[in-house]
Amino acid sequence: MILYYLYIFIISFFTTFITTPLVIKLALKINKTGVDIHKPSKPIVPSLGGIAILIGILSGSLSSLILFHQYYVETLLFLLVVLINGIIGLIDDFKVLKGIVKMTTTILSTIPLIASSYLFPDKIVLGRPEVPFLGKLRLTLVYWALLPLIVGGSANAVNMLEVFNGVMPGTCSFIAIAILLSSIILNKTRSIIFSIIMLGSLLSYYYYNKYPAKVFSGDVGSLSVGGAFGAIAIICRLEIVVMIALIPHIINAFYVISSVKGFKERRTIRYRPVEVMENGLIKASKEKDAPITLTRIILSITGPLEEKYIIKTIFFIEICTSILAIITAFLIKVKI
Amino acid sequence: MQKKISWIKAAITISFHIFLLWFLLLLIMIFIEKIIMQYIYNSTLRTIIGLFFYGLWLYILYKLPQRYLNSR
Repeated sequence: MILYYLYIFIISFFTTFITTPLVIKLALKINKTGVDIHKPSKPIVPSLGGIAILIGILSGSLSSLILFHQYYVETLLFLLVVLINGIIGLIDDFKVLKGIVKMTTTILSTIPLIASSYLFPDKIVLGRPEVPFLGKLRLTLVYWALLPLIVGGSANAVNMLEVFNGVMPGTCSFIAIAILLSSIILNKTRSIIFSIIMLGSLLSYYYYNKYPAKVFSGDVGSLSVGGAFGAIAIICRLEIVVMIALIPHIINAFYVISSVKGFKERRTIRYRPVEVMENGLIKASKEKDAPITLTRIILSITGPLEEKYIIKTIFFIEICTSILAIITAFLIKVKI
Repeated sequence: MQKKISWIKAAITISFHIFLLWFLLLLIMIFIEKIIMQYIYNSTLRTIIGLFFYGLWLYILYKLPQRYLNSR
């Protein structure tokens, strides 16, 4: 069994590792690049790196279909949700979608999950999240109201925190590790498989996206990774663990939405939350109407910082949150 | 060295706030499930009390960064 997990990890790791340079070449060829605005020299960096993550997840999922064929429904469902979010992200990379359109379309990826709960009621169980001390909750109405937000919300939350080099694959790798350890604690094979697929793909992609980045993920990367976490939460009934692990992303998204008053595309927001100084340091914006983000809060506490220290701060926060998610998994086993 | 202390201080401060939010969320969940669901039988009242406590949690989350943003 452990050998099978290792195979899946190796396949998703090396697929992403090999395909990322090819995606970089493709992005340069079709002139799909972005400006790294947080560096004084403003270098041009190829985009669309998320396609390599998507291919890595795809190959990992296909190999798990062969090795763990008893979970074919769950694996195909996971793959479907990831692909839907990835395609939405790809469309957004080429033709900028409005914030509300992006949120609504990512919510649509919940439909296969709802349909499968009716088609395969013994495999996909909705409305029974497991919470610490209390065990399985029976949420008849509230769960169905929150269900679309689990996938759509997590996809957009991950997308919103993808602000600095390596932050998305770095923080999401910690989340994948937290889900992996929580799944081992709770003895959930399905989520062990999915978290290993995610971890393999994200770790190899981090090599290219880390500071200073050789490639940007684009929305195709962040939406598919966020959607994948939402899918894991629902399919494997790990809603509360995934939600705790995603707290920095959720907090950031909540502050942005509440400060700009609605779902707005970042390119349409007038003021930026942070400013790059001439010496390369990044400082919090003093504009009252600038969006409130996690980075702006960090810089309000520290004062101007270099990009690499901001990345370290976000990683530290994510590590602490991932530990809380693992503790939550332990507490699910405790009943009062 | 000063920079190192500075980012660690920010990371610990925000992580501590996240820990408090996590702890408060657990307390609210236990309170609602073990007290409200056990002793209040009116479903409308249960919903109102539940929404009030989760709303309170969101309000605390919303108010948290204001002190830092206002200090600069």
